[in-house]
Amino acid sequence: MLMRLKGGRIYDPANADTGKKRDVFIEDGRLVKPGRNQKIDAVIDVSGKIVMAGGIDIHTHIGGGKVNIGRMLLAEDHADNRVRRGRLTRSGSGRCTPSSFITGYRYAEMGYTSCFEPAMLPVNARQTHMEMADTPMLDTGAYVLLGNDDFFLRLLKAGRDQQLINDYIAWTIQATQAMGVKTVNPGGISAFKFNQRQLDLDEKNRHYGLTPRTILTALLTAVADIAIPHPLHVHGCNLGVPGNVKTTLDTIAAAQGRPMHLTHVQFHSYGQEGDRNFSSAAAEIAEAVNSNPNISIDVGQIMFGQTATTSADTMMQYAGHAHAHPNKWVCMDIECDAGCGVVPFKYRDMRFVNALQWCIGLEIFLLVDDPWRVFLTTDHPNGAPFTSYPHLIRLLMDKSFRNDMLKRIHPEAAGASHLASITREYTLHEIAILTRAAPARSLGLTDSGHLGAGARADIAVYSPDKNVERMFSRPAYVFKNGERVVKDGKVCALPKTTTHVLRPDYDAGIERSLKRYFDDYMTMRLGNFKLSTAELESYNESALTVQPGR
Amino acid sequence: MTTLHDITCPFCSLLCDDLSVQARQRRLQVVNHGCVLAARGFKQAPPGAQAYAHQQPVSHTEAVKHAAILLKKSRRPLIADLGTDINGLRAALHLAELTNAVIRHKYEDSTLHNLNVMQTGGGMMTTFAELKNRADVVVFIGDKITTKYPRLLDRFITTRQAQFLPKGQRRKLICIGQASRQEKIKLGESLLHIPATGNGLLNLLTLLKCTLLGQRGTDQNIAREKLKKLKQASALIQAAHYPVFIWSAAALPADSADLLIRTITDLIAKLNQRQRAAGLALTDNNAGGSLQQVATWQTGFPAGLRFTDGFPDSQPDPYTPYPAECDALVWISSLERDTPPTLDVPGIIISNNQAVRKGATIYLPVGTPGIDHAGNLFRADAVINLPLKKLRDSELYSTGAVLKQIIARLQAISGC
Repeated sequence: MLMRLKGGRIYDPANADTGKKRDVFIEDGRLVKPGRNQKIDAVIDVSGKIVMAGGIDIHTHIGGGKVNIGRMLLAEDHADNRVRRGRLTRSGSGRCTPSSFITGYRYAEMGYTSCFEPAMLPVNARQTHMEMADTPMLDTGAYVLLGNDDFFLRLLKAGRDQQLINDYIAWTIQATQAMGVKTVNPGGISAFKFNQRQLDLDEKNRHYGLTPRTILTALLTAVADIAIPHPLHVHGCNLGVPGNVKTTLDTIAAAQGRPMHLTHVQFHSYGQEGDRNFSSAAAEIAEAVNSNPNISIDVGQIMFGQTATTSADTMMQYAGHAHAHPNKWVCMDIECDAGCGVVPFKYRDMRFVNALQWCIGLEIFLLVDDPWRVFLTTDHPNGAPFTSYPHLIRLLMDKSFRNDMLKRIHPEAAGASHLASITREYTLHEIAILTRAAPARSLGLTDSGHLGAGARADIAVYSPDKNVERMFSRPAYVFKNGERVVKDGKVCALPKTTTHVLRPDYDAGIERSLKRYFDDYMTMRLGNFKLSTAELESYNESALTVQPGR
Repeated sequence: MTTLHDITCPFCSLLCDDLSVQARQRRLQVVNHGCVLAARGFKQAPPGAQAYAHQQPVSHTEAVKHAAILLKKSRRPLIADLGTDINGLRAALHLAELTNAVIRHKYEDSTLHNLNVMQTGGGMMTTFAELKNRADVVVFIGDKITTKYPRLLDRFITTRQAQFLPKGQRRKLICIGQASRQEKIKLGESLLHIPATGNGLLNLLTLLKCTLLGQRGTDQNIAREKLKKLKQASALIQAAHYPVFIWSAAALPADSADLLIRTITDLIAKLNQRQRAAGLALTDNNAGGSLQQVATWQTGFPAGLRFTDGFPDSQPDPYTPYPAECDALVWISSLERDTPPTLDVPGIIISNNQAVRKGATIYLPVGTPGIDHAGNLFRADAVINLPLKKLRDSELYSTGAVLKQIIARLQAISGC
């Protein structure tokens, strides 16, 4: 069946369309260029509306152990925000850490069609994928977390060949059905288990004698060697520590020109100037991003209000537990693999540090020149729930609104920030890059994030509104694989979805060392650790999409 | 006859996945790495495939239809026991949402003890591989923990295979409560046993906490011998690199369980200000931990869950195992063998044990997860999720499949 979306204004940066009026044709779930005499079976009039590819969130904690601990811990959030089942939709609850079904519906109702879980522990891959299988409406994928796992650290300490490390990483990607590789506080989660409380880029893990720089270098090399499309996804050392800008700049330098993605960089852009020893280093970070084309970032913008911080970075989450609001927190050492820490937090506009964090995130967005290398995130739920994206987009697109908001925050923080003097306003074209085209390109998804022929027909149609927050909160239509799944901001159909995975090659000989290690030290058999395609597909009877290497 | 290896055992939440199981036609026998629970569980004969409605044999489809009609009439069903795999639990929660049911796991009480403490304070926790590789001192709190988790000692505590312990070092086990025979025999001199029961346990733990944190505690009414041992325990914990405190809420005195768990978690949190230490709250057998995980991600309500008018909701206080408002029972039991509660309401029994069909309004036989069909369960440390394999030919449906059939039928007749 051939369907025509007629008369929309197309924002499709990947194909250099900026607000041009163009019809879009859909057939068998894909965008097509119809033949001259081909019969059109259905027409949907989208005249005057704004048409973009479906949104893609490159970094959102939607599945896995720590998110679920967050849900368990924040009972108040769930009791106060209950959602009734609908004719089609399941029930659920939660605003900060929504339950899985609600997560899927709310993303779709903003025009998003794909989301990527950025911190899947290898030993927790099954849970992560199961939760994502219960997250409807969205295509998903996950980055597997490495760099604190003892098998890897033992290889590195023993000075083993990079090829062996590459084999291990490629094997892990396949065994856990991952889409990329992430590292969190490289070596630091392990160091915390040996009672180290901080670890800078060139400090040694007490047990292994390895520095984060060494670990980072090995991982960067592996990701390049095994041709993973998405650069190594890096949550660096010293998250949240005043003065951590130096570590972040050193980390950028440590990449030595190799592609690297720095995630939630807002939390890593702090100086120590001023009476309060806390200042914005957004300008230095933006300058470093601007002058290093190998670096991409997502921001991890904070928004004021209650949320839960959930991270694999046990070292820094433990360090921050005294700030828990409400006063309860969970930290966990996990299975010689990594860890997790969940600390509920309330960002307050009249608290100097939080107000400045808000400014720092916005400054980074506005000072980085190339929109293809900065992605729109709140590091859901760490900076704020993902449902605040429309508000964030308005802050970026509307200077007078931004300045009005700036007047409401702690005055000293506003005074300590350059935000008021920044005149840049993002355009719709640029927002389409940040939220669609750039994430797709970074992930190597050639058939998503754009509206060219051959692309998946994942489309969001918005009604123009001067208040872009309202506009992005309630799309007129969302199409998933060509099926209309949202109408007037409400879910109207449940589409089939897919899980994106990679299949990098490795020498099967790695399993001999792994089997010995598993038999001696781990608590499950190697064969049972591996998550098979058949098992994963059984979770919601959907097929995987294998993405090609770079 | 074939021997299958690396089989996961679903009969306690340790989920040991190194079993060898001999299959002779449909008969299974554990031949390596078994325990008393595994031996019994794998030996169980499958039920016949015959379904019943109102004590009469009926076709499976007919029984599903009767179940759907019964549930359509019910205003508040009780879905109980819930010993099944994750797919079964996912379907059970869907059914509960559609029928405004109350969800009650067999061991819900002990899940709630841990949850009450977690939701008001949190905790500093660990998993089995950290225990095995890192823990130099292990503290058991409660009564005979290894009875419910038979291979806990062998797999993670008495084993000498550890990455971060000096070669050959034996771990010290401190047991506060009643030690099991196994603990006494296997640990020998490595066991420091401080017997306690009832309120005595809380007194001892409070005093241990005070001693470790340099606070004043009262040692009245505690025998001198115990005080001496408590001091020894305190010194061992203080000198340890990674002490791990293990408890199972079900093995604590019910009336003081919340307070006991809070005392332990507070102690661990404070110890971490200067050294590393962690807790390990073993989740319950019979899929107790799995239900908590699935209910949390699907609804945001980990336990004490019911649905009201299509909303997920918490059971109001006071908590009762079988609320009087329930007018029908759905009893799901495909792991631990047990008998359904005697309630004066019609019952749909979905079980792998045909002996329980008597008294059921509707009986639907199902297979055992990890024997008759594949599946998954969460392990007792609440992070690891392991695959269960299908080990024999079986014409039995899985619990998940049966529940989905009932849901489809219910939706068809009620248009929901």
